[in-house]
Amino acid sequence: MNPVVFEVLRHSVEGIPERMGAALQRSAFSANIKERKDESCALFSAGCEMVAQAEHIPVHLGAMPSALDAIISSCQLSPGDQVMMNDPYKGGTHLPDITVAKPVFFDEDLLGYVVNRAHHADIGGSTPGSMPGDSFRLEEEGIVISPTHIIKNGEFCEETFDLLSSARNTKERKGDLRAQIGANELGARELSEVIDKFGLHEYLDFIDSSLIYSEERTRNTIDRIEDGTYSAVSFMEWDEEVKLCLRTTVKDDTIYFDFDGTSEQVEGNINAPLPVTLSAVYYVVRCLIPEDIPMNQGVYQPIKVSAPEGTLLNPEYPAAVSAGNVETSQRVVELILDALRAALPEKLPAQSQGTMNNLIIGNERFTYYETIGGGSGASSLGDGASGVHVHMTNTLNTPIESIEHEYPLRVNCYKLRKNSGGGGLFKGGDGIVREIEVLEDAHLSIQSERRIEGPRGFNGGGDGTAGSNLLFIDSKETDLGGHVSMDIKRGWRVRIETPGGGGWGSVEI
Amino acid sequence: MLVSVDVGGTFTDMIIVDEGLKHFKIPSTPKDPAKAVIQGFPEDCDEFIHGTTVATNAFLERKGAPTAFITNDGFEDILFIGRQVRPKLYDLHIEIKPLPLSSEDCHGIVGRVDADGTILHDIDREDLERLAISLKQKDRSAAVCLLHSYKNNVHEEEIKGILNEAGVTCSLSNRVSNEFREYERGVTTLLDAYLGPVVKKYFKKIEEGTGVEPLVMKSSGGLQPASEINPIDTFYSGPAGGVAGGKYISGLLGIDDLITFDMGGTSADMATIVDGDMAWKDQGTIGGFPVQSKMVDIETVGAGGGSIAWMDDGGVLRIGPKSAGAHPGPACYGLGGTEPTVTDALLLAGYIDKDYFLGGEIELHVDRAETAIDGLSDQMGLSMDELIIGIIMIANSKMSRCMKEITVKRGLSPSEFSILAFGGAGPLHASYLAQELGIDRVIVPPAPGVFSALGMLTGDLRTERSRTLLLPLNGKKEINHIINELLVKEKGEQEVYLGLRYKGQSHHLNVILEGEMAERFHLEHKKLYGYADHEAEIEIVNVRVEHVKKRNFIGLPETTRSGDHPSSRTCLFPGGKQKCKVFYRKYLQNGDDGPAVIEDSNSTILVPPDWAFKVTHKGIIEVVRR
Repeated sequence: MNPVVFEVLRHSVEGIPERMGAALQRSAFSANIKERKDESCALFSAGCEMVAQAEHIPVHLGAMPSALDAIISSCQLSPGDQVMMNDPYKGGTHLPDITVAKPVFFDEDLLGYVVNRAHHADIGGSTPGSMPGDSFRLEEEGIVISPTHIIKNGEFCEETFDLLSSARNTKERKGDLRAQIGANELGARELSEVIDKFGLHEYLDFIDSSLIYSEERTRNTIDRIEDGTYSAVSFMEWDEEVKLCLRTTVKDDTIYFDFDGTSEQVEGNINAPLPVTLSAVYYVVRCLIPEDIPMNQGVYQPIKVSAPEGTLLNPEYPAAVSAGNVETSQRVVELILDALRAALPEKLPAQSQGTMNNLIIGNERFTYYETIGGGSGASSLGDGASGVHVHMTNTLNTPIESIEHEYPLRVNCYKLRKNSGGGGLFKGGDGIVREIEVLEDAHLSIQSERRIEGPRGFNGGGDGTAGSNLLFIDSKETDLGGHVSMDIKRGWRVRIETPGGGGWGSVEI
Repeated sequence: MLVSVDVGGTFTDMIIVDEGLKHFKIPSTPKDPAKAVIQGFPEDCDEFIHGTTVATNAFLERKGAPTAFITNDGFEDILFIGRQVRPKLYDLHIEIKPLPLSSEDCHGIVGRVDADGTILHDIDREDLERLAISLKQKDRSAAVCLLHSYKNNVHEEEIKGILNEAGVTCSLSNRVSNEFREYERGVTTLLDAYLGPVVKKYFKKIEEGTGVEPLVMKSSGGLQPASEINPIDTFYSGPAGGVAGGKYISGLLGIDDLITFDMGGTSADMATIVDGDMAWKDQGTIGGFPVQSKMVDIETVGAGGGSIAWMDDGGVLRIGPKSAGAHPGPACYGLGGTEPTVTDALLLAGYIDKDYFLGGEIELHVDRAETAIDGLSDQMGLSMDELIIGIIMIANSKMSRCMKEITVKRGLSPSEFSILAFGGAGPLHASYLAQELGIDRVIVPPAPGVFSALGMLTGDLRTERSRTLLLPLNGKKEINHIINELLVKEKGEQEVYLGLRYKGQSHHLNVILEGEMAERFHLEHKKLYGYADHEAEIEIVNVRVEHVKKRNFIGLPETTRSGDHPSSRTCLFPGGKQKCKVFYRKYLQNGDDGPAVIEDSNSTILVPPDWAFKVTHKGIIEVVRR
């Protein structure tokens, strides 16, 4: 394809999901969508290849294609239809993320799909926010929706919406869904405009060229990694032994990720549905390739992933999944980096905090949810960063002044955890200390990892300090461990100390 | 005599309005920016309007005064943690730009106020006295930001007393910003303390050299005397001048909805004027850090005349983000640049006259541009002409992508707007952008090459004072008392805005205080976000009082022109080469059909085939779709 037309079309096409996202954020109700930007929009070809995607959170990378596949295989889609779903066992990730897809037609022919997903504030789980800390079965986490029409021939399907009747604040749910539907309408309209302007032939030509272009550039990157098999094993911090296993094989310009040997799914919520596992893999590859490569299905072509069914990284119904998305995904990324470090010692950092430190405090009156940053690993390029989110998330913190204004909570301290990063030629980033005093009785849940073993240093660098979750009743201190679900009383203080990153390189004497 | 000076990285633009309107470009003197201003400054100036980058540059180059940060015990690191996000999503080695502050200079002090403003612990005066002495010894100024000081400023004010007594100057967060969110307010306070001395020194020099105290253009589009200015309010002084001018042109022509489009050497700035008014925001960013200061809402794209065209390792033609800047500049400047740029393509397309660039001040070298373009066209397997048009079209598609986004974000479609084009390269690209976006009209103001300086002349004197409230709207009585405190006891109009949101949202809308506030807020919210929630509780986030003293801008001068007999030259368009009429704007009397090129002193206007232009009043040119 002519390289000028290609680049002009690229800007036209890539702009579509970006503007769908702008429209979605503008018209949604949930703070998760509006403020935390926990949403993604994408454009797919008629053959379900992802053509362009605008995401703000890496965990959506692999989830969108999986969701669309599930929708197409179970629903008949006509012009004027839109379908929604959230089932983690049919392409979803965790229940609060609802995906809505719309087919786009040109004359009679299917041209492709516009798809978006958004994190709703609630989906009817056993606790507000629908991410319970101690769920065993999927149903405890909320309403499970298989792919179902929400718009049929241009009409809103009230009976489908009634499925959501047990969610908290259904009015807000409807508003968010309407926003998602509207974003797809905008995307479909804009795609039609592109076809009108450039012609169908040119557009289809662009898709082919664009996928090949991204695939070739990704293959070039993989080709430069030394052929071989690189393995890693790590353990989730759980009551029983839960092992994560990976064999990564680089062969010419293809890379294989085989998670065989990983433990079976557990009775608990740390199971990560396959799309989450895929997202973790895609995230790492995305970090390795040049940042200007357009993100589309072509990038995924040279990546082959296999995770045995019934295991932690490809669980089966009815396993609970709410922490898979937010905690296990982090550990999978670290596992992949552990394996690849032997092949790319100069490119990859030491281990980072590898957790999101999910903290939920609430009662009937309020729900406070926050994820807390920590230390990132140092690399051959320099020190790690302190007090940041790593890998699969990058959401903002809540200002102390907002917390104290909105919730019966007092923050006693919010500071860097000095010297928690590993030492070395380059130091790992420091974690964070956050101490909160509750001013009302409430329920406390914490989902966190790296409370037993800290992030490891690399190439002679020291290890980061493991995190800890502490409870203070007067002056009595209790270590709560990594996964917490308990009632707490007014005046008690919860102190979260997040892990420091690993150091890189030994200090020469 | 009215003088306006806008200092840029390459040129310092000056406009003198006396009997008529004169404008110049003087090479900037970046090491001592005041030098260029004073050099070109006329005598007998009555009023001096100034756009400055002194605070921006001092921050970006980290040339402020050493500053210490004082906050509550346990929160010493809040400026380092920030919002705990990393700047690049897909970068395994996370790098975070440091603030001009070392951790040894951060001090946590005893004393605490809660969210209602109740004092939980008192400050320790003796401890603070010791701190003050040590700051004095280290020659630090101080930025003080305590939790909830917008609700209760007693501790911050007490600390100021102690520091001043020891001879330490300080900035207090409740005075600099008075808005909630401790990180953003803390950074804003730090920058105020850090940049204050530099900015003060600069204005002193300017005033001594010119004999006039300037009125400074702020990022908000309002003016304020230099002696009263807060450095943090000036970060986007120049670009705001252009948008202020856009508002003026919108009123003058009765065109309510405009996109201002300012394309220069390294980037293109865009903003919207909707219903005749500038869009603004309460908080912006500078060099990756937040600033709680009212700013015109401007979006910047890395596409300018100096943007470099290159082939990526997948064989695709890319433009930018690397720019040749002013030095060495595009290949055709002949100053050593060898990579092809957008300006080189514009020159070879015939849009720019090599002998009339910047009014003939810089001679362009066609041969250098050809060599640069030729090299890339060989590499890419494209003909010279294909590449030249390709570079222009790709730059256009980057800019139109951004233009679409800024209108969609406001819930509008780009086709509802006209484009106001200025900057050296704006009027060359604008019609192509309009074509792509379904826009029918491009407006080119007089002196487009120095329009930001011209726009500054149209500004009013404005001071803004605000305070975070976080109170329910139905308990409004309390706020009258606070508004009274914020009102300026001086002549002029006062505009009062309430920042309102549905409880639970984290962003608010600014609604002017008038009539039934709840109704007004629901309406605004529906207009901008597509829905209103009549049952939800409304919260007042903040109150903002703007004191406005209208200035009497004498208006654009009438122009008389003798008429022009066009010459012609061949230009390259996407459809092939065509003969174009060439006009000089200074003689231009009537309109004509495109294709045509209109030479202006610091800019060039392109009228593509299928477009036409007309000269409307005050010499404003409209380029319209035929």
